[in-house]
Amino acid sequence: MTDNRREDAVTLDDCWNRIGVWSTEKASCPELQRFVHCRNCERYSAAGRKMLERPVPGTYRREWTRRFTDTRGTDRDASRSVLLFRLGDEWLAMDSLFVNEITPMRTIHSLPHKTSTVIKGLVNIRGELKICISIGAILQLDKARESYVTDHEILERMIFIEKEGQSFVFPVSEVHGIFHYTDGSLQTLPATVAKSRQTYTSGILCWNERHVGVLDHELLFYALSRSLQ
Amino acid sequence: MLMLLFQLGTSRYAIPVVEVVEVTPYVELETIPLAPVCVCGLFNYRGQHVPVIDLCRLINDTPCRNSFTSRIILVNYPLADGSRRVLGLLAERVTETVDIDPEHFTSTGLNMEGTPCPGQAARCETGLVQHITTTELLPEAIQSQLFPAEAG
Repeated sequence: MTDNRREDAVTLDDCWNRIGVWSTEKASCPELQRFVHCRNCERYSAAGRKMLERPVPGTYRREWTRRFTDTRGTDRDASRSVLLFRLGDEWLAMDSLFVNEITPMRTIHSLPHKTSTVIKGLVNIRGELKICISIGAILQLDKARESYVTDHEILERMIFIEKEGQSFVFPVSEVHGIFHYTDGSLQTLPATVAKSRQTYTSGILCWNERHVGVLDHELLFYALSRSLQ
Repeated sequence: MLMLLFQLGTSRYAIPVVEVVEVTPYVELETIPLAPVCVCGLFNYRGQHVPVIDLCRLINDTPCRNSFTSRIILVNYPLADGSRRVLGLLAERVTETVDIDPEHFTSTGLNMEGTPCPGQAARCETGLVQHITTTELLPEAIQSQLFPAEAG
């Protein structure tokens, strides 16, 4: 590949190395007054495009031909994404479309005369007070299990979710990150399940040999707005 | 309206991105014997056979250059019965998209029926850009050869 590149090299005036920001002496290009940095200059981007005008080596075309023959195309079909997080010893997933921000743990200011177990208080997110809720209380997850994972405070995060103007914050034990999946890999729930946690689940995903429940965002936001009344 | 820009010879053309399925490198194509010259081959696109039209050949009568910026634009080609087929368009300098207000497209004063250019052009930073429509892209003779079952 390298040899090919040498042969087909196009002649370029690398002014960014001569008089631009990458020059060894003082940058003297008058255009820098206007563009500040060479990467903002059209000469630089035009040179980049010119690099692509080179003839294509056969190996490149062959490699891409092979790649497109492949029907699996898993990365392409994985069009849906969820945020994976852990509550106690339970891994859950939430449609990443509704996740606005993940922040470190913040102080939860408790509300007086609070009767609901779902509402924990108020949290300051970028100067705005958001309602902090306990997702475990809604899903009726109990932490007392034999295989309980010990929590590390350093992993604890807060997830700020928002949908149609409604926003909530809830603390979690750990956030893994975004997970991409295909529509087909979302497994349906067994019909006999009646427990509260499962009714808030729209499906089950396989991740790292674990079964992760994907939260039904519509039902969750509905339940959360109900709990405020 | 976001448009995908490409070049045929020295002129710039644009196609609305809503019609584009994917842009792929200029891969190796299976030649089809006795096919019209502008049909440069069959693309095995993820198990689907997609005919690829060399737009340079169709419009300028010269084949596309074999460079990194020559790419295949896969478009949804509408058929007479309302269904859609994927069609590959080989063009040069497929490197950027540009947002052009549809109102900026004005008539060029020429009405060439049966050609891919509907006679609409707009001026953008890099110069004049001509609008191409996939519906009028192919001459009827080629269209009836390409998708005979659907067209008939």
